[in-house]
Amino acid sequence: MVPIVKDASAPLPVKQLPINSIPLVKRLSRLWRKYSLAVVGGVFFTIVLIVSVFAPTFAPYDPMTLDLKSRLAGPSAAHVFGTDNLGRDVLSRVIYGGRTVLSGAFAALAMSFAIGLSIGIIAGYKGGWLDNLFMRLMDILLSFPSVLLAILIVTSLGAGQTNVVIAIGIAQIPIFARLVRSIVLILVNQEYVAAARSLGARDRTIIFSHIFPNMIPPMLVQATAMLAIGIATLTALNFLGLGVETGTPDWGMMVADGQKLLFDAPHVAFFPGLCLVLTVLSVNFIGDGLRDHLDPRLRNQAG
Amino acid sequence: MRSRVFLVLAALALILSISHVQAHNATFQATAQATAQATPQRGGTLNVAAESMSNSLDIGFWQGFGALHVIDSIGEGLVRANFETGKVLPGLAESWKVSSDGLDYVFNIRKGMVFQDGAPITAQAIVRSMKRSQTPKDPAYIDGMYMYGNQGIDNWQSLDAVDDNTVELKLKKPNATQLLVFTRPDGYIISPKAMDTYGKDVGLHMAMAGPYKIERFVPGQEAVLDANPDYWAGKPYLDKIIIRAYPDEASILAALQAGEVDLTLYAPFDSVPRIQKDSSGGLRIVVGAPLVDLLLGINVTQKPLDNVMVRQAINYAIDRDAIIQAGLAGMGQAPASILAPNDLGFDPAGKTISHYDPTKAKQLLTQAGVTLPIPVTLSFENDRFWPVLAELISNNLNAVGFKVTLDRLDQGSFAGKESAGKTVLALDQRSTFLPDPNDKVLIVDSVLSIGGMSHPEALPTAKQLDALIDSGTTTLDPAARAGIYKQIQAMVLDQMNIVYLAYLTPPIFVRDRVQNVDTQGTAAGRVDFRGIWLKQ
Amino acid sequence: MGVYLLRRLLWLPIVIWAVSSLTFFALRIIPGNPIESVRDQITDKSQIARIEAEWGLDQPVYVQYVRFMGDLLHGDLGISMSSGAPISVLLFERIPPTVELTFVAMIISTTLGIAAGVVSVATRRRSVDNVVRIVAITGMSMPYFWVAIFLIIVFSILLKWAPTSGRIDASLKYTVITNFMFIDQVITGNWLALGSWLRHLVLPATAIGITSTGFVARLTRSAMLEEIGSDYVRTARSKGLSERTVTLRHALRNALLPILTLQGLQFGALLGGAVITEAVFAYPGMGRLLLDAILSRDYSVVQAAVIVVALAYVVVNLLVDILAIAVDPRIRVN
Repeated sequence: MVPIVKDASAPLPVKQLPINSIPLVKRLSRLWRKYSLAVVGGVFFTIVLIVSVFAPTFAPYDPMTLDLKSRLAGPSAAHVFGTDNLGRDVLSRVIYGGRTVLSGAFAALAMSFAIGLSIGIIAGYKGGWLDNLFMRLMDILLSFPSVLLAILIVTSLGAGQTNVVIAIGIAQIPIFARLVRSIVLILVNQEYVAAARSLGARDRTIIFSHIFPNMIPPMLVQATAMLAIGIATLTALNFLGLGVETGTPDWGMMVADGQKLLFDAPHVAFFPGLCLVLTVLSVNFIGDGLRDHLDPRLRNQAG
Repeated sequence: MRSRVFLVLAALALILSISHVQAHNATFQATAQATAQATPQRGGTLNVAAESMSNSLDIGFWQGFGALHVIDSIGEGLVRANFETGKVLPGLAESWKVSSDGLDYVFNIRKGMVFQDGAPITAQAIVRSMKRSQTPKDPAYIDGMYMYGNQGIDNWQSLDAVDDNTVELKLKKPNATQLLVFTRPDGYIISPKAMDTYGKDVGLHMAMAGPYKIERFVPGQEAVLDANPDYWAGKPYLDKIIIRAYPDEASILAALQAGEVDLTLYAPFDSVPRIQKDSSGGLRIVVGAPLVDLLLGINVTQKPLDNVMVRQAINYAIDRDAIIQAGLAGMGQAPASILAPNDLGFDPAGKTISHYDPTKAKQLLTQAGVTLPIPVTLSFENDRFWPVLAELISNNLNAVGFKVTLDRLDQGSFAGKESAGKTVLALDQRSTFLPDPNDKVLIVDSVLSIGGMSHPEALPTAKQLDALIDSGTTTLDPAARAGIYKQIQAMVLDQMNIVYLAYLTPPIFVRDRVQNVDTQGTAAGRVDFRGIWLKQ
Repeated sequence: MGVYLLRRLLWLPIVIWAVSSLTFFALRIIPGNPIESVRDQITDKSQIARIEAEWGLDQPVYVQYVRFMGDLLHGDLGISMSSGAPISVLLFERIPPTVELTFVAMIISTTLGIAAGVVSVATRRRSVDNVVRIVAITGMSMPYFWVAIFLIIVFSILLKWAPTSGRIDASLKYTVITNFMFIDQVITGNWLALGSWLRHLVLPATAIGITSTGFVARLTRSAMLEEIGSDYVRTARSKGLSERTVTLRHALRNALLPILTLQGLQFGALLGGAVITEAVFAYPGMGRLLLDAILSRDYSVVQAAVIVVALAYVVVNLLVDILAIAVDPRIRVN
């Protein structure tokens, strides 16, 4: 259990931008100076996202087609990222690999977000024995380092992409749950909530109209952090051989396969690795910018 | 602005470091190597990288090639083998006589030898060690030392120490391979002192009679060996040998490139062309003889694999050329069948059957009248070239009407599953462990391989094949034996319960200063460290 | 505070029980037969019998659970499914290397991270601050295996400054007492072994530490800024240097507490990173033990390793929390 905010009673500020007299160009350049990293990150990540979603359009070849005649070819006009040891086009595999990685990370995020949100709201709002029970469960889950928990779940459910996603999802639930709960606890204590209650407003209304809107900023920041961690963990587990099946394009697995070719065909490991680093970096840039923008005082999550 | 610059710099650094490696290799000119036979020098430490190290060095049940390298260095049997000529050479026995009917062996043991722990090497010690698996009362007896089964013990009438320096072995039936099986690790002699002192744990404290002795053994990790000054043939050239297990090919490659490893069989084959082209990297490749068969075992008890046409279809569906080029980086030869070019009785005619013909494969499946696609599971070890081979074969089989599920396993689980007969299709290899074909054909012997990978006992020709294999060992005339092994090959091709993929010509990765690495035994994994020396 | 402490301490055995039980049940819902490969691997029949008793599916789960808990209370973690070796021996061999690794990684990440954070805040130039921030985020974004591979290529293979794998030079002779290299080799005065050990430790520890460094740097920076106010330092040119230093030092002291708490949680990330890093560096620690056990279906070892690592994490976090409260009792806890 981590000692959290020092002062629990002050409301969270919401940033406002001046809307009237400053010309657009100047506003944009000011934004750019302040959030250049986040913008770069945002643009890059959007590109990655689009390419992944429309993989069949962008990928020049089928990622699984073998072409043994041109195996281990370096980057060329025909194969921009070269070919791997079975002659498969690396660029196409990187694109489809991005699909595997991003879909998995988003799925895990969605799962942990949804479940963590529900648990956090119930625990924070209802309080009492329900709160205690949920938090104890979360504590138990948090007793495991997240990679370890993911590994345990993968071992018990068996290897494979789906199970890895479930494992990462489960490992991330307690973080969301605790964050949500702490925010709910703060919000719930505020006067207008008590007032609304005394006026007979239904719990559901209070939750949706008062609590939710104020939760979004910190949740967004946490979500970007969790997405980055999810991508990193997913690829790491695939790198170790605990996830996707042999042959499925995935950045982690491609780096693992390319590891023993580093001196003969470095492009096989280099490109998927580079894409992985840049993607995680861009997500972190976005998160950092969000964090700066939304509330410089909000520092109750552990990094 | 600065942030962007930094990002570019970081990426540049990464690219530079990787391209530096390539540039480094390309800048130097390939220099011709002086390969003149020089006088061996003494001294130095040889660092060997292995793919594994078992948890015990007990010759009754070791696992993996790492343990094999260690045991081959520290052990010595009655005799030794010359892999090239197939001749039997003196070991602990300086001479021997075999009766004309092949039933009586008398070995004259060298006088004055000692084991690595100081105990004298007597005929009695030798007999005790050789009879270990038959003597439950011996403190070093362990129930389950299956390796000893390779010694032909079931055929022994008696084994006695006639006097301190003479061992006599009487057989029930003649066995043409009896002398050669003594060159297996299970034929090495363990010191009685070690057996008494350590009992069942003697595998952790092996004291034998070979050219090197154990200084330190860390189960599962490494063994550090020192030269044995009391070795009967004289102290070997190297001071020390360190045999270390690495978890995968990538770490062996890294160690090789960093100069930490001097000799290994287990680096990635894809590195071979580069190392062969650029000798300035301090490494060279010694290409081994084709002594390792790569094969696909088919479980004939699984429907519809019990239909020989389906098995033949599998045979014709596989593109061996692609396997050799893409999976083995060219380090292999197109196969015939169960025996390889160096084996007695090898018949190259089999090559016409073991070859790629996907049209014929599809025809056979149609003829067999089976419903397509046929679901099969392909089990393989998750290291070295096996995953790539599995992918290639899976592609081939899927193309003709199979539906392959890949079953990646670690070394231990794979060995277990295979020997328990639970695989459907399995990728494996068989080395010429000793220069005699009998070892290799045992894989299709229905008694000795009962319930194994291909379940040979379920074939209609099982009894016939067993009788042939048996006569292969009981026939003493080499020419007659050759004829028998030719027949065995034909039968295996006919039944196709084992499909042969390639004869591996293993590349041996050697550092420049390492001299005199032989291409025969080493290729089969039986490295003879006695002849190796280091240029100072 | 005392009550909080007592509650945490009382909670500890319950957590231990919960972690062990969760691991136990997680490993008992494995599809297929978990001991299938065992029978075919081990040759010693007595060992097979023991493993079958602990993992055999013929017995009801609660019977196995009772046996498992009983064994655990006696400190008996069972025997390995693939080799039959007692797991306590394996732990003796593998825990110290990982402890050493994470300890050094912590030192690296804490010192570098704090230094970077301080530089970021103390500098008058915004550009330096930006560079440090970017480096910190980049550090946080590098996957462990990528950093590990990169370090090996640059420092082991190209520069040959450090070895590619292992814990210590295999050709060196050294004594094993506690199996903690630092203790053992200092006691026996074996400086050669100590040097070799350090050379082997540097790269893997850095690989794990880099990610943490980024987190620490960012936290140091933001914690210090919270205390000072983000524009104070830069605009306070008129104030004397000594006053600025005092302010910075005060701000740093303020940051130490959250950093401490962060490191407690980061320890878990380090343990996870150790699994990956030890794999790439072939480092003989708990991470590799766990990974090898998973890949070889040695569920006895997986069970023991997970429990041990999770417990270490729990204990470390407890210690950190106690320390935090000891330092600043004003902290209110939920």
